[in-house]
Amino acid sequence: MEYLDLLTHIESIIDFIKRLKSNDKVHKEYYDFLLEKYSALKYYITKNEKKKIKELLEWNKYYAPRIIYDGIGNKDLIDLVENLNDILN
Amino acid sequence: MDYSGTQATKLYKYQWDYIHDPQTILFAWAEEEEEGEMQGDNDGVNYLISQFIGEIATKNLWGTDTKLDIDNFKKRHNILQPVLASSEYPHLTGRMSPPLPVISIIFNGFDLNNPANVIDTKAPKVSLVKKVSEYRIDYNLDFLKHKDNVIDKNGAYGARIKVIDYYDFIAVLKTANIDTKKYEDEIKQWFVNNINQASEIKDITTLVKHIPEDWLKNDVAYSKQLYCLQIASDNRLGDPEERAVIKLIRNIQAGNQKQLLADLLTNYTLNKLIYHIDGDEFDEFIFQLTDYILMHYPKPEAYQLESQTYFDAAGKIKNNHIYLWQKRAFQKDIKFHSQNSTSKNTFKITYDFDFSTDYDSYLCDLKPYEFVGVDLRSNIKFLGINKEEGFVIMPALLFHWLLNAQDKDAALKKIKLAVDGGLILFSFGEYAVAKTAVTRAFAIANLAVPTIDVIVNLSDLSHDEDYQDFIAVWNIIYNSYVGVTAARLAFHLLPEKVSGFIKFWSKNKANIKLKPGTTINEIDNTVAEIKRVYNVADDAVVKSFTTQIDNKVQIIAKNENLPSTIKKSFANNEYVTCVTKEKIVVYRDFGDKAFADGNFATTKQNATRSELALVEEFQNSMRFKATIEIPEGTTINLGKVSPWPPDKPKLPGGADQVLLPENYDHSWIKNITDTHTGKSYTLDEFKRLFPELFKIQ
Repeated sequence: MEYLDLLTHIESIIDFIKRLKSNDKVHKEYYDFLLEKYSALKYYITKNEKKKIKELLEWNKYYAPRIIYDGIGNKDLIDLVENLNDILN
Repeated sequence: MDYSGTQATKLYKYQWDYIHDPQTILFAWAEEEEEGEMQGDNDGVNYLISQFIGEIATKNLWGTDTKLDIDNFKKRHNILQPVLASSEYPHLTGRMSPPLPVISIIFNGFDLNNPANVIDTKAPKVSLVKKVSEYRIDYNLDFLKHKDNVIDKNGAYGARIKVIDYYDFIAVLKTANIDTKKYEDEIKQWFVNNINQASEIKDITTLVKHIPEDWLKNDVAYSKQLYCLQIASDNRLGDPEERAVIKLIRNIQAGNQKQLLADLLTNYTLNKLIYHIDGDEFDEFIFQLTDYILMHYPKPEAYQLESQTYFDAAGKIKNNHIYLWQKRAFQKDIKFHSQNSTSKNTFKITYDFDFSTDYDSYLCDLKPYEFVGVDLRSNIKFLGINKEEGFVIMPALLFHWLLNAQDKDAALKKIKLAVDGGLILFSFGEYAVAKTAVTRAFAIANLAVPTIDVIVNLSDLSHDEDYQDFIAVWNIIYNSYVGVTAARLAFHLLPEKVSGFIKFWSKNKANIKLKPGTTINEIDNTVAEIKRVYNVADDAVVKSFTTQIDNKVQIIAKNENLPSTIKKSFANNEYVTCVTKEKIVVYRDFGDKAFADGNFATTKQNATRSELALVEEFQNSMRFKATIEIPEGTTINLGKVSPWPPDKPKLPGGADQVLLPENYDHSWIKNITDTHTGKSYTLDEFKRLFPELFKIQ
């Protein structure tokens, strides 16, 4: 997959989280935590730091869906992050 | 049988011994069908010659007695009635005696007492006829001897020497310098006459089996061939009958092949034949008809069908397998469009289809020579046929049968099974084995139930390590489907068979080596979908794990709508969906990024981080522990905590894992304990202090 496509998808995740965050003042820390992860992923992709990218993609694969499911439980966001796995596969 | 080289000129010792053992000879005669097959060198011609010579001139070759003892000859061979020639067949006579047509050859004027007629096998004049067909024609060869070389009914003696095939027989005649043409002509005529008179399936089968193919093709009328096929279609067919049907179809002259395709679709002839034929023969049957279609109606005349979701008046999805003609693809070939389908612009192959409507009229208006592209999509994600993967080209005659079978229920179930069961095989890489579209269509239509059968059978062998490799199992299934009779397509047994499959998978999946790229979760999804589709009873599910609350829940249809990562959070991707039969207390550890009202819980009060596989990346501090009381009648998902991450586990898991319903009522949370301070909170107290730890405010 081209990095450009990857970036586009990650940006859509970030945008989605930001939208959720804007409507939810209670869980700011929770959303910031997610934003931090995906912003970092975006950053490392632009810098082509493969080790960091791999690390964060693994986090996306193994942890993000469960953290979101067990946390705010937004299905659309779960789909987005799982789709990222599917795309990479 | 070897007709080459010099072997045919030799008389072997074992043959000689055989000749001198009357009991053995008599015993051999009793073996009607298989007598022509000898052990050892298995040279029928040599054997026959040796029999012939042995009876009349044994001692002429090796001793002093040159005279044939006729009385002893009769006695030894239990000859009761001499065979007589008829006016119709002056050189032979014959009678139908299924399973063997008996044609008796009369050696007119052949004096067996004349030493000149004795054949010296050491210097034979054998002009061997090589077999040109695998099909045998069995003969009862009767030798007649008369002292005055004149046919005399009262003085004629016959001795059944050996059952041999037609070509061996001709070879023997030529060995004896006999002109074979008159025999050949009469034998051919005998066959043609008898086929024309035959109306019983057993007679047809016997005659078709033994007649050489070129005679069947060139000397039997097409109308008679079709009549034989129609007779066959009305009978239960065993292997011999199936082979006769195929032989008939294979030997239709080119000028009649197109007509055959049309004629087979009249009076359900094709439907009935397909219903009765199975195994290898069905494969061959479909291939042969497809060859005719390809020869007479080239493939570009195909239609393509396009699926479309269909909604009923209430806007609810009524059928999910409705298909439209893809007119764009074949617009130039309008003459090939069937009238009803083009006018109504719909064509249905759904297995949810209600056959009671008048849609039948255009459901079945396909011509046999049309090829149909059928989009056999399945909701089972694992099958991977939600796109063009499931697109199957099949001759309409097969498609027609699938949908126009007299037994609608059976057809529907078969199609349904075909889509789900048959394509499972292809998804395992067996697609390559099905080299042609027709094979694929055939396999789809016929593998499903046998597949389930075999799986059930294999489940009993699951302890055997040879059956632990899942791919091997599927290979066995694929290789075993042929020969499974139509009788085994017992649709009413399907739920049990599917249950067997599910049990097999549940029991063995942990030990099964999967094809690279295939995950247990995917197959779990398939199994769950199959279970749903076939309405398999929930109690058919055998889960391989036990939990502390097994006796407090009732397993129901599995919830497959969980995100894939959540499914993986259960050990071995295995979980059950169940309803609580009573109140059940579970515990949830949370803190930091894990909320109090999250979905994961466990039955053990003091489960460790390791048992819960709460790897630090989850950002769950486990500072707080909630005691949650699940009300009776609540639907939950239950399993064991999977090692995590599943590929490279950091923590082993192993505790009971209860997946609570989404957005359950906070009233279920009875108290919360701060494990750092030991302080216990009520729900309200905790909410006031830590509102950010509740996803729902």
